[in-house]
Amino acid sequence: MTEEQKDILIGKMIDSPSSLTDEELDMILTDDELKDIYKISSDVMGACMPQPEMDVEREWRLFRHRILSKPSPTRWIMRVAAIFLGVMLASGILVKFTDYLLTDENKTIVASDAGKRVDLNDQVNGNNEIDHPMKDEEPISEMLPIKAAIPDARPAKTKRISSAAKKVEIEEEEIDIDEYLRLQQSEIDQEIAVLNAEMYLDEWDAMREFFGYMNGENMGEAETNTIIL
Amino acid sequence: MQYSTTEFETLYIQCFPPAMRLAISLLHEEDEARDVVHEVFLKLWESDVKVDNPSAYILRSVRNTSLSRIRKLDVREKVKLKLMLEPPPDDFDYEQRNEEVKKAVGRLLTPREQQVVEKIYTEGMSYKDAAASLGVSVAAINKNIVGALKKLRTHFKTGKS
Repeated sequence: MTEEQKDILIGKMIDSPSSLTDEELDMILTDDELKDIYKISSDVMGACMPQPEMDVEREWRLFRHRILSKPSPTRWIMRVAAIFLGVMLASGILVKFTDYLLTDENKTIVASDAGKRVDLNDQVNGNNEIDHPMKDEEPISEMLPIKAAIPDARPAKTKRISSAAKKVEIEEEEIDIDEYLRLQQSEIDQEIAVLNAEMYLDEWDAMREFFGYMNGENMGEAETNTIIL
Repeated sequence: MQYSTTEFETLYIQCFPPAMRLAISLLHEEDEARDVVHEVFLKLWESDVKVDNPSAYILRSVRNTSLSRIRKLDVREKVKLKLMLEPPPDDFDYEQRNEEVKKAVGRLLTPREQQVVEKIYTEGMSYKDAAASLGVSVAAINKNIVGALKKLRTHFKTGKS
């Protein structure tokens, strides 16, 4: 490359660099003298170009506002951690509250269930003056096969203890909700069976009255057995 | 963050002017230069890594960030990017370099060359406008510029005028 060609390239490099072709760019980048002159040109530009008026204090105030108003990554992590802990706490409270509500319902059901059962047993075993074929048998609730098949649906926490002790005991127990519902369902099934048996006894008494069995008028032993069956 | 607000303020006031001058010399635009400088200071503020020489770190980061922005610009800037791929050493003093160049311009160049340099580099004129302003031809402008740059190159390469 001649000196004249180099001078032309330097002129284009400084005055109209966007007019440089790819070939001319390659020539500049492969020629040490042209590369050095370009670097010197950049240095002269950096040294001679007018420096802007800089109010450093004002620039700092603007920047300070920017950095202090922007949440740092640490603050973000703290916020996420706080949200997570809040959700965990709320979930825990909700679970305990739900558990508490279910436990109260359970206590009510068992209490009413116990009352009915006692009444039914009294009626069947001792307090009923009606002399029917099942009088000396064991209580109906104990005769039902379902009684033997399922465990006692009443959780241990329903034991008759002081209310304060109950609450402590309830809180300490972690009852699986599925297991609890299954036991409740069993309890309800058992209750239905007991009520059916009670209904059967009532029907039996009504039939005996209807046929005058108590007076020994119309109904014979054979008919009674048929009805029982 | 490794700095208190007070420490960072001291660093900012010390390093902002040279960082701005470097960014402006590379980007030729004050707003974009300020954006680059703020970006670099912000990274340093948020960084948890201890920086041994924060002044050198800031200037080096300003230079690298400016060059990465230049990559998106025109052909001239792409040339600049290619020519400046070799980074200066960490202890490179941009302020000192500018002073040296100014002194060399004042000492080595002829008055006409200094006039042309001022029109082109300080006032940002094109060859055509500079020629019209000085009442000379465009070829004369180019001749003066080329002569001035070659003198400066020789001076900084060999240490002689």
